[in-house]
Amino acid sequence: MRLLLTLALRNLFRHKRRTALTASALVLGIALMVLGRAWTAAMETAVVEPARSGTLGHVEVFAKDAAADEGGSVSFIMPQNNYRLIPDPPALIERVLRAEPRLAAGLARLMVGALLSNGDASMEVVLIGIDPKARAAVYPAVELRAGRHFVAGEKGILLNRGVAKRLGATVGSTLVALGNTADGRLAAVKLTVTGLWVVKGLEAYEWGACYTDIAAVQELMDVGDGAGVLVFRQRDLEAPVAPIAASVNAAFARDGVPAVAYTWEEMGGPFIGGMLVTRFIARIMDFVMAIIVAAGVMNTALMSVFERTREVGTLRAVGARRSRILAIFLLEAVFLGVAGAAGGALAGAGLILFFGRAGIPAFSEAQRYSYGGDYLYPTLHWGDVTVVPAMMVVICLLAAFGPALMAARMRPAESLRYV
Amino acid sequence: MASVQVEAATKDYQLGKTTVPALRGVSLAVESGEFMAVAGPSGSGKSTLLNLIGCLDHPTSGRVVIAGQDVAALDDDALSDLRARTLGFIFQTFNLIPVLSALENVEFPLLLRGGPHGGRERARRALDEVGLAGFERHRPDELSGGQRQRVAVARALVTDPVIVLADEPTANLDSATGESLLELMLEINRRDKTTFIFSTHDPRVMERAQRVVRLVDGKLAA
Ligand SMILES: Nc1ncnc2c1ncn2[C@@H]1O[C@H](COP(=O)(O)OP(=O)(O)O)[C@@H](O)[C@H]1O
Ligand SMILES: [Mg+2]
Repeated sequence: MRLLLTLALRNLFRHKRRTALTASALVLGIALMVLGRAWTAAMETAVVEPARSGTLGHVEVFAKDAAADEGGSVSFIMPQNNYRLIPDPPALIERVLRAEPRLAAGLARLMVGALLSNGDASMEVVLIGIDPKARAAVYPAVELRAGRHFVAGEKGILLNRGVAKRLGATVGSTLVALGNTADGRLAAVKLTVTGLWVVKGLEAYEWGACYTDIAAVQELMDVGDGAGVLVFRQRDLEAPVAPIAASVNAAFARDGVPAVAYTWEEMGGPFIGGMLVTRFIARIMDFVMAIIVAAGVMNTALMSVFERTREVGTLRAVGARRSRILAIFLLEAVFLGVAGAAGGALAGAGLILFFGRAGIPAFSEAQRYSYGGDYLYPTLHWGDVTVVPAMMVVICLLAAFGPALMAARMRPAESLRYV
Repeated sequence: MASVQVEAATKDYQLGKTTVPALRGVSLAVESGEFMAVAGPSGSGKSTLLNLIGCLDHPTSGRVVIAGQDVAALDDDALSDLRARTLGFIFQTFNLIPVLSALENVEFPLLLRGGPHGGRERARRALDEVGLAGFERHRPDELSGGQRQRVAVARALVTDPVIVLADEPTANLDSATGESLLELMLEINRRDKTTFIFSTHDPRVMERAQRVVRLVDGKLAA
């Protein structure tokens, strides 16, 4: 074994230029893949994390066939004017939390499109009616630029900066929301601005959304205590959400509850759409990069097999079995791979640290959306700097397997004749 | 006892659509301890014959028996092991491993066999025996042709093989160097009773052989 190691190492050093070239291709490829991972991960956290903690939650529960009267499929961000609502939300929240201890808290929510006016100024907004008592536990990312959060019973409303400006409203203003009741009558409700809201990272998404007390929206729609959706937050933020939603659905089926649980991934809308596209593109880039690197390693291995054909014949004559020959060439590729992986991991980590400090600037409005701001700050995670390099070592091994097998299967007499 | 038996061996090479008959029915027995030359002009099939005896290739028809073992019955690994234990090779072009030192080249077959330690010492002694004490750390490209071939001889002998096969071992050496290499081989043959089978087309080399078989166009000449 010592012998094989020596042989592999010395043969690599024998062709310094070629080895250096292949190794640097590996280093570069791996570094870019590592950075790419941190980049997409940062994009996901920049947008998805605030979204989960400010609107999406982790698990959402709708009434069965909630959107049956308007097209069928439920949407998390669309107003729920015509939805079949969940009666007695506290009871269902209670039931879900009892059935699924991995969920920490639940919040009843009802969303409706309305015309909001302050004196003469008015605009179309979406009122996000939430239970003020559950807000802190489920929507921790909703922060205030000014004022305070509303409490139950006061019919408070939080505006975002854009809406406040358009309406000329400030903390303390009294607004009138005009909308339709569930059965189509015109209705109005008075709301008091208690603060200006912001979700850090989602500034770019500040559409005309106003958080208000669910009681105010229920009054406007005249729907008693109905909720459009129940939003739940996970205890362990890293745990996969799909099994949790599945177990909630299983509990519903078992108890005959006419409700359906969805994951934030299923309901993510624009947040998740961009993320999936980015993920997909990142996968393709990884794939292309892996192919390029594999081709380089395979080429190097092929060259070394060809130029050492006679050496293979000699080794076989001296008594080396086929498996030894295979091992010699595979070891070379593994050494190359490990060197490239180590270098790539270091270089990648360096790039991540650099951009983590300097920030990756957004060059377009679209990028501002996926970065959740003007700059994206990737962070260093062990997984990112180890998984890709480790995978690339395996890919090097696979890429060299063909040439190594070719060398191992050469007939000794033939290889000895080869010049 | 015959250490090598070749029975009616033929070997055809396929060159595209044409078949090249390199050996056309060669029968040969080599006794243990012989110092035998296979003579013949270039292209007569010397290398082919030595490759068959060395289990580096299979005959198209006929049989090759090495130390009582019909090699057709052995799979590739068993043939490798047979080469490692029973045979030693010396090549016209020396065929040392360029990245290994003289000592490592000699030690190589011992390491392949695994087994007891002390390979390094044995290799050192083998190098010493071929007159290369002090050259242990030299790489092949730091040695002269004669020195390289001596390293190759040490590599072939370090495992105490029963048979040493040498395909035109002196062809790439000047005559004086070739002469002394032959001396060395003869000395080892006398002392250890190692069977030597070497090919050559040099009449002066043939003279030194105990027995000469002549190959012409793939057949043994009478
Ligand atoms: N691998 C091969 N493929 C095709 N022809 C071969 C091959 N090896 C040898 N030959 C042919 O077989 C004949 C004998 O070759 P060889 O045994 O090398 O002769 P020698 O060693 O006496 O010069 C030659 O005509 C040679 O061209
Ligand atoms: Mg020849």
